Amino acid sequence: MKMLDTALIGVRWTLYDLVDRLYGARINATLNELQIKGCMDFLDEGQSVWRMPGRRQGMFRAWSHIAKRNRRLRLHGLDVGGILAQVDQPEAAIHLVMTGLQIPERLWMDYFALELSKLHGWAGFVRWRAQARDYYWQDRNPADLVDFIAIRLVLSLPLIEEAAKQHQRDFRYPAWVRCLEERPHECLLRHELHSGAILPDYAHRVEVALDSGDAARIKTLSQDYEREKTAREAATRALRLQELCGRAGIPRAELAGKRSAALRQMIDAVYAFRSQEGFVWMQALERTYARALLAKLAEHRARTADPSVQPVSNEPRRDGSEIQALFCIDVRSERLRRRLEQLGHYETYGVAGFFGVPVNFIELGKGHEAALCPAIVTPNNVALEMPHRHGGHEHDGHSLFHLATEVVHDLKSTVLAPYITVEAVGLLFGFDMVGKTLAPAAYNSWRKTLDNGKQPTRLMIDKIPRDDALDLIATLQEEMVVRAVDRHFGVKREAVTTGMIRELREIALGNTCGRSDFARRFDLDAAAETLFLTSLRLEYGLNPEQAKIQLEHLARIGFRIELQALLVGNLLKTIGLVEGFAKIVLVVGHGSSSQNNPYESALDCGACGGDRGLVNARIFAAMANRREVREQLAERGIRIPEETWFIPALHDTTTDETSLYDIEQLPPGRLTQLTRIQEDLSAAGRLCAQERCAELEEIGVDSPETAASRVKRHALDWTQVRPEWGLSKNASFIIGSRNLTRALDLEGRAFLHSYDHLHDPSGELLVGILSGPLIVAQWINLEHYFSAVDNDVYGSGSKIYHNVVGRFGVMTGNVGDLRTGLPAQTVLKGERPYHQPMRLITLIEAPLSCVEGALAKVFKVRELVQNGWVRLLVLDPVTDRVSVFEHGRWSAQPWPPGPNHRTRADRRTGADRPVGAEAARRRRKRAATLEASP
Amino acid sequence: MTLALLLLAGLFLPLYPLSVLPNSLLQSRLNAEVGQGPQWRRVPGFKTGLLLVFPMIGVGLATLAMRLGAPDPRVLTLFGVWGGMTSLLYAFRLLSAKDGEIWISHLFTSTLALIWIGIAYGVDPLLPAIGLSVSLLPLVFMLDQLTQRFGIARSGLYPGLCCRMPWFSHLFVLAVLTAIAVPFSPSFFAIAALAFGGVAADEVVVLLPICLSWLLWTWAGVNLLTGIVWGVPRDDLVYRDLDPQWGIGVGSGMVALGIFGILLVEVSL
Repeated sequence: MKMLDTALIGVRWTLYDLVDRLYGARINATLNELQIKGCMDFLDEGQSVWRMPGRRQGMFRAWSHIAKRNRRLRLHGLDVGGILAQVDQPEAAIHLVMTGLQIPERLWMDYFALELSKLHGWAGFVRWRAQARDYYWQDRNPADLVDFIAIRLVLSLPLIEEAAKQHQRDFRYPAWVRCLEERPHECLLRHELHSGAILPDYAHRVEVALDSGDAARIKTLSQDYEREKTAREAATRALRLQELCGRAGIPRAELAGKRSAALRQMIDAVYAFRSQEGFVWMQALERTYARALLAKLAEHRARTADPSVQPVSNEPRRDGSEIQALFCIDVRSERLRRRLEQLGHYETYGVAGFFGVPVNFIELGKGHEAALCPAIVTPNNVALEMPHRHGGHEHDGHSLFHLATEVVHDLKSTVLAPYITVEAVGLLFGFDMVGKTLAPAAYNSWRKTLDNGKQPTRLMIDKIPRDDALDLIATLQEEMVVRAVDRHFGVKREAVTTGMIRELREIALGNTCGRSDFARRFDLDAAAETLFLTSLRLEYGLNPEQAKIQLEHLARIGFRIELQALLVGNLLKTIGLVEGFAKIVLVVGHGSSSQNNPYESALDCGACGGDRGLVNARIFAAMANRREVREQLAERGIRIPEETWFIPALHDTTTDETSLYDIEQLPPGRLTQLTRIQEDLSAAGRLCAQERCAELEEIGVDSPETAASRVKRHALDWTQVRPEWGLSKNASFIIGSRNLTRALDLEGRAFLHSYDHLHDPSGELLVGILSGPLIVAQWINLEHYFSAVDNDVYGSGSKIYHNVVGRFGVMTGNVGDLRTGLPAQTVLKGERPYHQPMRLITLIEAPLSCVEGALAKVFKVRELVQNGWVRLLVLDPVTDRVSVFEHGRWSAQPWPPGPNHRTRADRRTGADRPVGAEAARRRRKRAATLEASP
Repeated sequence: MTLALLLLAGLFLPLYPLSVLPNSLLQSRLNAEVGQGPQWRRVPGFKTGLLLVFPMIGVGLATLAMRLGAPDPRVLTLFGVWGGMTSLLYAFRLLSAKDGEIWISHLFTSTLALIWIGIAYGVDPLLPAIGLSVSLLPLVFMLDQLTQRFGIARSGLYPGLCCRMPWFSHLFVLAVLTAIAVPFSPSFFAIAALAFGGVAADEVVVLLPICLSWLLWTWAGVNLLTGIVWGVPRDDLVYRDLDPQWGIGVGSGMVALGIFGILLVEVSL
């Protein structure tokens, strides 16, 4: 046992950590609670009804303004008023506290890091916010880590002082150093007692000795305690070692001697292994998976190479009855693709679910833009959702249901109304609760009949010509003039002519000057007219600067035809679909549906920025269906036949239902096929649901129909904490042609990106795949990895205790750290991991030289591969060899592997076998070999 | 003489500061550990006997005092208030108690002191006293099991027993709930008898200490469970669960106690 080291004060322990650990106080917990409450108030993004005042001044100032007058803090014994009266800036507050606690300046950075790590979720969010570009809430209510640390330190000072007063000690830095140096035995015993590490049978004696304050008694007890604890630890370790030796087949008799060589060897092996144990297990997992995958692919290749079992493949496409479908690379698409292809006349492709169209989307009725693309891409273009029919009244007004919903929610979100109206409207919520709990499917379908749903829309994806944009702005400005005239003078539209409106607009914009007809007609004096024109300029935005901004905004809407052709062409070339187009090409985005689930976006499409992929699919299909786009593509060698039609669709990964969209734009000739396609999609979805029900351990699922209804219930059940497994168990990323994997059951664990190296002589398309989809897949993989290896720290724990906070995150309980990572229900099954934590195994079907060339061009991916964050395998179709990048170099072997090779590899792996591994190895049979052991 | 007998009864149906005696006896192991008191007081049988015999002696002395000559009702009310305040004081101290022996001794004092409220307002004290003291027995046994395993029965030293010792944890939760007078335990019916019996005479003196003490016992019980049953188990300790047969035996005993409680209410109310 070691005495407490003074060098760790301020580096591993804050001063209040020492108070907590040595005196059993709870300063850290109190501090966390107070700071979390402050953060919740300040960082709120619309959840609270009464908002914190003065937030625009910044986090520290807004907090200190309230803290000065907070009586609850005084009740806690925290009089921060004195400190806050002396400082105005957070930096000054930090300086004041650090000098007050007499912490040496050389330790300040370590001390700040310690403070930030206490609430790493909140600190991380504040840091992210401070560095985010154009983040509305940060622009409005600025906060940074200096504010965060300042608040924490200001709160900690009075808490430490209060504890010092209570225990009649000095708890500043120099005093702690003295204490640890002069009274090491007392500090050790105190630490053992209050940190919960003490031997239980010593607890009372230690407590009594410490209370006595007798230094000699404490020293004697401490030495006795140390001896006893060391002896017990040694006994426990000896037992474990004995068990380990037993498993390694070392006879007990060999361990008996003090100088037993076997024992010494085992102890050395344990110490040598300890530092890299986790890594070894992870490598074992990866190799087991990679071996099985390669064996599966080899078997598949052998089967398809045999002409007697090869299916008649390209026949249907020629007569035009085959259907092609583009799916997202997401692991959940693998099942649907396989099932759909098994039906016989489908050919599927995998591509990043934003379909190569990075776009900012403005949904109908929403005022903000949502970036639908991977987080590494910044979209330049905007797509606007517009109603199909303009000016209709059936959707303009709110239905009675909508009106009632709005009223109820408005009542809920006011401060006093719930107290008054709870008895009246509380029953409605009770009705909702009973319906959702007891009969979710029936209740939700009834709710849908009340709700008219969203009206049919179309997307505005073409550029607005400059003249049209100017006209649009002019119309908008004239509308503003009409409203202003009505508001200011009570003059209705019928009383003013178009000429008058235009003249007022022109004067406001500064294009003309002089007295207006409107002023003359309504007898306005010069002052009233000037006042009105100023109001038009300032209040209604009728000024050249505003017009310029509006023009810039309009210029961002839509895509030029050339860009549309480029985006469509790039995507088709990347997946190798440049000829042999079917009459119908489905563009299938994906999304999920669940109730009461703050993690819903984690189940949506990662390539679409955690949103549903439908909008991108609709935009891509609309672009690919345009004649002008096809003409330009034809010039580049991609001839899409006139009869080919791209149809957008959405795969709901929770229910495995796939719905077709924009079918009203379909040519009449294609409509006849729709019913069959929909039936096929339903059949494939039902089979997928059956597969997934087994994974979800659903009981009593004996048919695809039962499975389909079961997963549908999951999507509607608000008590369901695991509507689907999502991307859990993801393991590999396969970049290659579908021939490599078609009909193979990859168990929904592989990201599949279509790629044909024959269409990519320069390697540029591969560079695109590596720098976009692979990065996103690797993020997803690591997010699952870390959430699985330590769910409490890197994940977010159980969903059961989660509460949504401030509309931006979740925390455990009512006051807790902001949770990061995935919840336990996503990666764990009971207490054991469901997701197997391993690095993404990336398999590329392309010549090795081509892959090396691509890697040389993408720094980020090269770094990931070279530093071992991604395991890269290359299947070279030219040389028929599989190359593995490991320990900084490539090692190749024939693929599919021959029997001789297996023997060689086995011989190699036997070189540095750990003690005791012999027996286990003898039992294990290998299906295929992949690489040498490390 | 009557007053002397009542004061003497205050040693056995503890009234502060006379409660020092039973508390000291019940904390025998702790005292023995630091070199005070004989070893024989560590035996759980001693504690069990003490828990059962002390209330009987107290009730006997109080009854004798009443028989010898009816005391002034104001004196009896004074004893009632004294008992109520003693109960509250020990219930409050219970909140900070971590050691099992201290916990049991404080709870014993806090519960049995309430008997004085019954005595003050004419409730027969015998059955409530039996109900309250009998309810503590399962907890004494369970705490003794902890002492046998870890050397001490104390909250916060070996959390997470529910994960490593499920049989023990189930029974321990039941024992704590029984001790803090949750419904269907004999102690619940005992305090119900005291409350209903005396409420007609004086609502405040009867109900206030009973309700507040009950609230504090519950709070303290949750604290005890939090520090022992829940949490993350320690890796450096050996956890040994109860033998299932022993567990079934103790569980049956608790069910029998529950039935006894129901019978108690039949008789007393």
